[in-house]
Formats: sequence, structure tokens, C-alpha cells
Amino acid sequence: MSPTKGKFRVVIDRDLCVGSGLCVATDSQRFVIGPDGKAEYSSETVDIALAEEAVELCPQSAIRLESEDGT
Amino acid sequence: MIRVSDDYLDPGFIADPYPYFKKIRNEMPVHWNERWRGWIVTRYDDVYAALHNDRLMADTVTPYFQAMKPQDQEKYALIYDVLNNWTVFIDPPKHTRLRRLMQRAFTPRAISKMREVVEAIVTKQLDKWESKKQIDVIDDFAYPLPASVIATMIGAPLEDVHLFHVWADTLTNLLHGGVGASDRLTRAQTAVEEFNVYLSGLYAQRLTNPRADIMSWLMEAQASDPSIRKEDVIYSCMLLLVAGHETTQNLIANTLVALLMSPDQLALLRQDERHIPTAIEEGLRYNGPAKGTMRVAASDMEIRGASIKNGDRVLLWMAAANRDPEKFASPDTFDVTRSPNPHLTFSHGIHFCMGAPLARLELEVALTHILRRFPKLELAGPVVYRPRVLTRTMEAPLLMAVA
Repeated sequence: MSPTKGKFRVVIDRDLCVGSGLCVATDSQRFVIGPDGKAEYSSETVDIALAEEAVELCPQSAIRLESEDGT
Repeated sequence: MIRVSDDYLDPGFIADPYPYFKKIRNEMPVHWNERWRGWIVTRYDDVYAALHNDRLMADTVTPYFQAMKPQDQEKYALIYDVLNNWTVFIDPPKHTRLRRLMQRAFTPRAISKMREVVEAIVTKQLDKWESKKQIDVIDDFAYPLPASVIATMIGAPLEDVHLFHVWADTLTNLLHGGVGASDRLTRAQTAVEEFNVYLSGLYAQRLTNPRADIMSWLMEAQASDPSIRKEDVIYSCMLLLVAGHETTQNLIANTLVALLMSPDQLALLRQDERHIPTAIEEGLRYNGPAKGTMRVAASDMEIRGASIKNGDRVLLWMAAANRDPEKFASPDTFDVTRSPNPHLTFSHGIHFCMGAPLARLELEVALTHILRRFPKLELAGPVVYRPRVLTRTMEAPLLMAVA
């Protein structure tokens, strides 16, 4: 998966998230751990390379990178 | 402050800790245990918050080694160096760097390769059951499986698995056998030295011939990050073996026994294999491989009114939290369809079990094949637990009739 065009968004499944923080360690500008211990994506813009790495490293596979048109 | 001196090796508690957990969760959810010399935390919300508290540290190893005589510190320096580079016993920022390295062992690419490995090993083990009337589910299955899987994934030849068993058992005894026994340390020192030499050999082979295995992937990550050392790769491979060994054995044995003791749930699962994913989570919750985990407070803090001081030990009983009625309806019922099931058996936060996908996979493959191939499986002997404070480990032989 190597998106080159179009708009993308990062989706975090809150039921799966365990707050391991690996996404934060990958891109601390955009991922944060919220007050409930779970990850949130705090940025309007997506760094696709770092988001892909966070998807790969998430121990719960709780992160998805989706294109805005739903694919 | 409520104080008790209850013994976590008491035979009644080892056999069935859940009535005791219910009592302390209700009557003294956070208290001091004088015999264990630390704070005890039992309710779901408190255990969850503690696992996410960055002032409760996982490095319980450094205080232990610092208390040793200087000549012993020197003698066991390699053990300390290994343990002090294991993600389970370290804190950020060092933890973050090594955890990111080790997570490479459990990417989607790695997990898809694991399924073939696990299927092949499970099939081979179960083939040996076919000619028998009765098996020992520990020694004939749950004990050999995880070591064979990890050895294969690291890239070691299968004929060396017996070495992995010796090293893993020796280190598990050091970590779970309590403190102070110098013979355990001496044996662990020898095991770590041998393991280090062995893995260094695999490492040297892969410098010239990378393969599709975990050690090669960790070396790939090392090549692109100058902060990662050869030792980090080797010690991380040691951790993979030790952390996944007895815990996975317990997960398989404890879940099978829970099923055999709940005939209606076993029948439900046999009727519809689609319940297997929720059955795995329920096995983890109901009588999981580990009862608790230990932390050390790095500053003064309060948990549910208890005043915890900098340097105090804190024991988080996940197994008590997993049966908290505030979080789980009918918590003492084993329900293979329970969903959602936010148990804390794999921990939570930055120390969430890295091997969770592999543990789930091994149990999924094991359950699927055992249920299909052995419709008459039943318990054929007593269930006895080993005297361990932090884990729920059944003794071999754990006899089951297969035909």
C-alpha cells in the first residue's frame, strides 16, 4: 500500500486500542494518547509514510489508513 | 491503611485464587501486604489506571541487582545486561526504542508467516495423539508447541529446540521462583551465556545470508537505525522465547480445562467454530496465564485513598480485575460468546503483550484442530497448579482421554 494521491484519513478502532503508544512513538506530532489511555489522531493533515508505519507497528492492528472516498 | 500478611503461595490460593480475589476486591481493594512487602491493587478501574500510569515503573530488576554484593554484581553482569534490555523490565525512553525494534517481529508480514509454522507444528504434535488413548496435554502438546514455534520463527533449526527448552525453563525459574536463591542465578548465568553464544552464531550467519525470519527482520531494522546494537537484537530474541514459553503453555492448558469443565460451552464451540475468537478472549479473562504484574512507584501517589510512597512495590492483580462485576456481567461464568471482553491479561498501555497476536494464533489453531480431531476429549486426571505467585501454571501430567 503506497498511496500517492487523493485525501487520506487515519481511523483508530477504540475498542481494539490498548494505548501501547507505538503510534505516538512513530509520529508524536499527530498521534496522542487521550485521557482514557487510548490513541487519537490529532492532526487535520496526514503524513502517509508515518501513518503506514504506525499501521504496521500497532500490536492490535487498531489503526487503518482510509482514503476520503471510502476505499 | 489496611495491612494483611496473606501468603500468595498458600495451597488454597494456588489451587483457586478467585474467592480470595473477590474478598479483597470487595473489602480492601487497595491494601498493603506485609509478607509480600508491597501494595496490592485489585479493581478493574484501578488496575487499568495503574497500567497507564507513567510513574509506576516496570524496572523491578535494577533495585534487585543494586542490592547485591559488588562481587555478585560482577559475576551476574550478563544477566543484568540481558534483563535490563528486555522491554518487560524497562521504562521509556529506552523502552520505546527497544519496543519499536521488537514490534518488527509481529508485523502483518511476520504474522502471516507464523500461521503456516503454527499449523505445521500443531498438526505434527496432534498426529502423535492418534495412536494413544490418553495424553498429557502439557508434555505432549502445550509445553513443546511455543518453543518450537519461536525457535522456527527466530530461524533456529528444529533439532535445537531442546536447547531452547532448557534455556527458557532456567530463565523462567529465575524470574518466577522468587528472589535470593543463588543456585538459580548461577544456572541462569550459564543459560544466558550459552544462549548468547548460540544466537550470536545465528546472527553471524545472517550477516552474509539474510533469511525470512525474525532475526533477519530485526537485523534489517538494526541496519537502518544506528542506536540499535547487535546485543539488542540478540537479547530481544531471548525475550521472545522466554516470554512466550510458559505463558502460552498456560493459555492453552487453562483454556482447554475451562472448556472441559463447562460441557455446555464446549458443546457450543463444537457446534459453531465461529465462537473460537471470543472463546480465546474468555480463556484469557476467566483463568488466564498470568495473575498479576509488578511495578515500582517512582514518586508518591494515591490509589483509591492509599498513600503510596516513592520506591514502594505495587502488585497489580489483573486476574482480580478480570472478574470485577463493575466491568463484567456474571464475572465468574465462563462464557465463550462474551463480547466485548476488555480483559487485562495481556496488560495495557506501553507494556501490552507484544506476543498477543502469536498467543491468540497458537490457541486458535490448537483449539480448531483439537476440537475437529478429538470429539471424545475429556479430563482423565486431577488439575494441579504449580506454586507460582504471578502465573497460573498447571503441573504435568495433565491427563486427558482422547479416544
